Amino acid sequence: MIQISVKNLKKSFTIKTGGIFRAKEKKVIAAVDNISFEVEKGEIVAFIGPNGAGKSTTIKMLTGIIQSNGGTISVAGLDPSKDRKKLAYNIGCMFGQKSQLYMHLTVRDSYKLLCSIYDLDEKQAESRIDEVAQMFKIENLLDKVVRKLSLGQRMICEIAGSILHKPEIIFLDEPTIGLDIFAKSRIREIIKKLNEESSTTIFLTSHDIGDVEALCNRIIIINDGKIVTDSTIQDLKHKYLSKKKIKISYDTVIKNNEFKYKVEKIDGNQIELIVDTNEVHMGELLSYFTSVGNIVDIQIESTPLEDVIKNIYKERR
Amino acid sequence: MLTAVKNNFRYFLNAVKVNIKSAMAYKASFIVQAVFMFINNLFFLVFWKVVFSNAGESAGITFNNVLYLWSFSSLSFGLAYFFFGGIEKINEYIITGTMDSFLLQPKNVLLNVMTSKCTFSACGDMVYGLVIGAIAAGGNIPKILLLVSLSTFGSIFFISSEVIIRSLSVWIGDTKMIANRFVEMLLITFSTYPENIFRIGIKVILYTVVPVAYLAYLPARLMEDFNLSILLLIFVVGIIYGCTAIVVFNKAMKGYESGNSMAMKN
Repeated sequence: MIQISVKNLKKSFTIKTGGIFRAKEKKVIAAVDNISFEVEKGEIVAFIGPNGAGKSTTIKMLTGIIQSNGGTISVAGLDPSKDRKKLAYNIGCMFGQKSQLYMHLTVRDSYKLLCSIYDLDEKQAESRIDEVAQMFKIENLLDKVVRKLSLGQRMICEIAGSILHKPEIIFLDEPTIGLDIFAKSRIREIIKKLNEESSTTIFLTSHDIGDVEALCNRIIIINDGKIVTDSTIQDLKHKYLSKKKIKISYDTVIKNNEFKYKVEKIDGNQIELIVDTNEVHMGELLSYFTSVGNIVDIQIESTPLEDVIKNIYKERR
Repeated sequence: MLTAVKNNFRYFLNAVKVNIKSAMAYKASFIVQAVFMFINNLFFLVFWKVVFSNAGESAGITFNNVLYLWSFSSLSFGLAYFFFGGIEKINEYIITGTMDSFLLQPKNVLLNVMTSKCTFSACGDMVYGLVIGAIAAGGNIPKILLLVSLSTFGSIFFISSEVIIRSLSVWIGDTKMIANRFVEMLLITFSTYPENIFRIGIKVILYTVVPVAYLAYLPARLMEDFNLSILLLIFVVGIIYGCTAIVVFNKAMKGYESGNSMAMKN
């Protein structure tokens, strides 16, 4: 079942430059330029791109915060520009840079207000708060004042707050921004659990490729307002991670001209080369390496996903 | 429809409760602000008392009339800013992009924004307005009830003015200064001076663009000489101002472009 459908979506902003009283020049900048994609129920999709690529603008249009200049959007079967209120019951949002909790109140009081926003009565609110607190293991944080929480604790409480009304789709914009590795891993666990236990669709933006690798099955890369890649993580890896860096140590010195494949670096009995496994089978390579001499050690490394994405950003710029 | 009204009212009560709880996080500051506002207002009345003692009452300007004007002005102001203090933040929410969190919720955005903050010092204005109003009414309960009802309705003029001016931030940039000057220098200042001291040109303004007449002059007149047509006039003008504010705010939300600044509610 398709839960998010975007067709030929456009959004531009007008920037006025020069002149003190009157702008000399008006420039129209296309923040989102004719993009289309669909997201199925239960998918975890990473929507990534460099700063200013159009990620947040797209999420804001999908959630009804801002209006598009063209194209159509359907989220949970609703048009965000026309059914903003109805849509709000079906989606949960967490923006890493903006809080929905109240700084001077306890987490519980903030949640109670959020529950009343979603029309839960007092009894329903209390039981839902307890349920969510148990699920996120934050029972001990409920009676703490929000401003006294650590950043990691606050982020977990923010995500918990965004699902109090049991949304079908969750939009997460930089959920792990500024967090240490332990907090990041805890947030990832929670997101994964949410998706697995209730088939919640997750639409995530992050600059942390670790989030993408740990959570998502599909990746959409946007740059300069245009979608440059839309594929599963597996396909992306197959396409871009086929290049392997191989370091082999032999028990004797190996000469460059003795090697069948192009060597990147040679240092005594150590050889370094980069091969494309789409062109040469790994088994064939390994049998060749063993035929050259006695192998003491071998290391095979894939290009990190982060480098791959960096290259995609650069290629399409 | 009825359920929606009920839910919005329940949300309003919860928001007020939350705002008061937030205020109580800094109890001493809350009390000091309210008490100082009460004392600050009291000084103006002492000034008027001295003027009347020396110059006497004339041209239909009485001390009781001044008491009513101050009462309506303070009570309407206090009610508007204590319960709907978020009106002062509209421009900030627009400029910084923090309107996002309100737009993501299934509530009326304007109600949500208005109840997002409570101005603590407005509590002092409310109490002050009520006390001097009760003194002017000579403790007459029906008159005090009329005063409270008219002031509650009168708060529409403060709220609408703030909403209209601050919403303009979407098109003309931060309107904080304009809104502050409009409320302080026009609405509050003119509503605390008797109508009779102004010439016709100024009166036209006070009966149209700057709605001081419907906020203080006409309600004060009603307290001394009740007239149903004046009451209806206040009601109709109030509705027009309120509807204009809603239309301007909704139009502003259509043109809202959000932003990415780091922000936290308080």
